[in-house]
Amino acid sequence: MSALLWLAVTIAVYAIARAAYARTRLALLNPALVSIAAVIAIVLLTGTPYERYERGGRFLSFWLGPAVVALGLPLALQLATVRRNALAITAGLVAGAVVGIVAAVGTARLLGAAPAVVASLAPRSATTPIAVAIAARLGGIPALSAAVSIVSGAIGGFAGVGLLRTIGVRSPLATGLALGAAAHGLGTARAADEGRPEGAASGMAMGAVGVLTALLAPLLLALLTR
Amino acid sequence: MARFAAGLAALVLLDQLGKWLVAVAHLAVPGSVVGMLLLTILLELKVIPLELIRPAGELLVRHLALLYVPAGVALVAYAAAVRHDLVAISAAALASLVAVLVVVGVVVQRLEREM
Repeated sequence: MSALLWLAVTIAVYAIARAAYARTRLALLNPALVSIAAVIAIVLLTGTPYERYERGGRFLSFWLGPAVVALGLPLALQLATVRRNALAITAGLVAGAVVGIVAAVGTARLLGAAPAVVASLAPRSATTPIAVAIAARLGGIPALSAAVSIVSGAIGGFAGVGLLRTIGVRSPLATGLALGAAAHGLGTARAADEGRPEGAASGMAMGAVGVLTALLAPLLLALLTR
Repeated sequence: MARFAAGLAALVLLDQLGKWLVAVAHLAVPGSVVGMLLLTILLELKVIPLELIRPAGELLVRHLALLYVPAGVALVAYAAAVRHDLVAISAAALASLVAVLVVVGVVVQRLEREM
């Protein structure tokens, strides 16, 4: 199959996965996850080497960089609305970014994971496109970081609010920030269901934690894997 | 249409500028994240008008999931490594998810009350 055909297959699969999700609203039918699984199945069934698939896929991958840049847009829009609580927000998000990296790297090391796997887990709390970019720079497996980021984000979006209520977190600001920081895109979608303040807080947390994780992951990974 | 093209060009240029800065300064941060910070600052300072970036930026962000499908498909090449460390991967991801939820939720709620 030619590169352009693989590009078309990927876009078609994504369009179908999106439509299926829009109709059912099932968390399990997360469009990113379903698209990746379906394209993997097609690649395997046709016996296509990944390198050949990637010649079509790179037309999409190229836009990941500009899309990450575009995440600065919601960040800039929401910076103004949350300025009042700047201290609480800064302290919470910096602490969250640090424990997100330390918990992932620490647990993986403790359980004896291979170094490339440990590096792939370090950007777990970053939104998927940022996690992919961080893993590439840390010597990890970007594909694994993508999968981990999507799956854990889906679980956080599904169970995050319940966990926060259980430990006594009720404030809209704290709820929104925690969901965006821990479960990025899917946490933000869930936070927006809770209300406008939650959604806005979550969107800015997602962008800020992505940046903080990019800055802190190289340092913390080096410290923890010495 | 012209504004859409200009916005898209600005996003591509900022991504390339970020990647160039990272290469020149030998930073461990991804170039696209540097580009994102540059965009945030330029929007805050009103050097770039919000309305220029908005149409192209919102389109890319809406279909972000499509853009990382090829990166995720690369998992086929690492099936053995993933299967070998599956328990560690699942435990580490879950530990990180819960830790971030609890720490951000509790820290923000505490400090917010004091203000």
